[in-house]
Amino acid sequence: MKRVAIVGAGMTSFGEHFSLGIKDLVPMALSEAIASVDKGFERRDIGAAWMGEVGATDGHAAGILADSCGLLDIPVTRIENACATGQDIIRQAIYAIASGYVDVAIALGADKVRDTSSSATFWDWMALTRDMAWDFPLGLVAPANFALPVSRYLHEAPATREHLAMIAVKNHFHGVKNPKAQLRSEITVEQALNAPMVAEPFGL
Amino acid sequence: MGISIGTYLPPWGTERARVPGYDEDALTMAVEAGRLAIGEEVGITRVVFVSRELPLLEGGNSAPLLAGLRLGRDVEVVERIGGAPATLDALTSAAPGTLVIGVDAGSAAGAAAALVAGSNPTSQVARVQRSMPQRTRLANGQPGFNDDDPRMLREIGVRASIEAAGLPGKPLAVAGLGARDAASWSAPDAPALPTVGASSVLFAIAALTEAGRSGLVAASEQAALSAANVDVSTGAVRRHERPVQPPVKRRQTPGTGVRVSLAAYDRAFEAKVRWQAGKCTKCGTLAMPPRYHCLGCGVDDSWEYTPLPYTGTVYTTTTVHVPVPSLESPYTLAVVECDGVDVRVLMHVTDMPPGTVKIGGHGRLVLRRVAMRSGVPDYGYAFSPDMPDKDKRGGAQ
Repeated sequence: MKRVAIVGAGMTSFGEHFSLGIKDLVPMALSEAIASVDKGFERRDIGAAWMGEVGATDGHAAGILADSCGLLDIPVTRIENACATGQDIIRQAIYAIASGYVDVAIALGADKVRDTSSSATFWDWMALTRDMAWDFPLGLVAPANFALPVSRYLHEAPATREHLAMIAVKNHFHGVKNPKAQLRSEITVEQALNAPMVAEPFGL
Repeated sequence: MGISIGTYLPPWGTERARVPGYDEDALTMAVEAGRLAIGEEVGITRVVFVSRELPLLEGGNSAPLLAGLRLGRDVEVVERIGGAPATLDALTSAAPGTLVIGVDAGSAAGAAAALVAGSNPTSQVARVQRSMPQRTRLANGQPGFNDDDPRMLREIGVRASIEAAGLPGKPLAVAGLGARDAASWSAPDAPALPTVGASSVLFAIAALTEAGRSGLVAASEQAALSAANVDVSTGAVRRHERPVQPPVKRRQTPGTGVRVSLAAYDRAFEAKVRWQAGKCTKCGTLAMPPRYHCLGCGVDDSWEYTPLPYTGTVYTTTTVHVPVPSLESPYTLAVVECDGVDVRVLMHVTDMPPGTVKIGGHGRLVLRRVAMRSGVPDYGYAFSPDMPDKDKRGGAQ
């Protein structure tokens, strides 16, 4: 197997981006990634591409990547693997390069969840992610989905809610340094612990 | 033998009047009362469901009712719109093997059911159908006329009907009236009743059975009156009436609604509403919902339905506080381990304020209306935490 390296990366900022469609955001991220490669890189050198998208906006994801980025003559594949989708597209690209099938591959993830009103988006999203008869009607929102195992974990392990708060503090700390992060402010453990509740034990 | 009665009051409201929980309707309340009346009895061939709040006028209440009652799909169901006289008429005319359920799911909510096993110990004494439409509800379910004149109702409604009935004496209880009126038309020591509609006459018979008082019982609704002699000597009563608590303030968030997939509804129904897991016929491994491929032994397409226990323990839980479109927040979810089997199911927590259950808490699994989906009631099981022993009344099952 060949060794594989990540040689460039690009991304848009995180936000609602009402004025930008997924066909704007995807090429923005790819162009920035190509521009970031040390000593330059030609788009025509891309041998295959993987597109990660959980939802579906403005059409089939692989076609959007191929069309909006001018990748018309290479294999383009859409991957969906819930919250692990981004990692999975990197894994697919690594397999392709390590096996010798291509020399350069693109892994690009995008989701555009704010193209419908917030009152409709929720159930559209739930329909994609939940069993229609068993989970869908219960209101198993994403925070609750993770709160259930974490509640059990806090019950079984010596970990406490303070430890969860420390993770939030760490995440905010790194967000400050990232100009494209959605939230760029530091918080304290006390602020995290006292935040309004979303789904116990998770606060805002 | 005789009459077995089950009664159910929602845990919400005030001492004067209970109200249904956000996940209750006439059908889930009918199941609560009906299960208590049935107990271990078998051979039920007919169910008469009397209410003025039937959840659906078209689309079918019968199948989820029978599933919740754990009765066969071949049992006849009569859905009868009516109040206290309609319930009493259904009881006096009931053949052995008939379960009569009266439900009030509006204000002053409650449900009561009577199973006639062996000879029917009730007999009709009088029936008077007179028209006194002081309050009307139209075919679309919307309120029509409402002339709140209690004195007019008392004089040309109830009094005239009681006189026309020619009753042999004062009834031990008159169901369907407010407390003061009921007392004035009844013999001394009439039982206080929690409802005034279809369930009220069965609550009256339940109280008389507990007091060992056989005799005349009347049921009134506007100017309609029915009366029957009731022999309570062979009766039994089981109640599920938790202490009352104020309704929880929930915030309904506007949304586009929870849509239904009828194909998914149909595939899930037997497991979800009859509370049955799939059991591998080779190795016995349970799956909820049932699976094509057994995770225990790997066999394909080899399973049968098997009943799940109706009690369980909280494995993990969370309470959602944020607004969720089309739902009412806050609400509590729990993954519940069914007692004695290796099955965990995600469900709502009911009958208690949100956020009050803990991991390890024990409770009953009860039929509730999990959601309204595009105008279809979606029934499934919810976790009802056990009460501390000091608060228990009656034999909840």
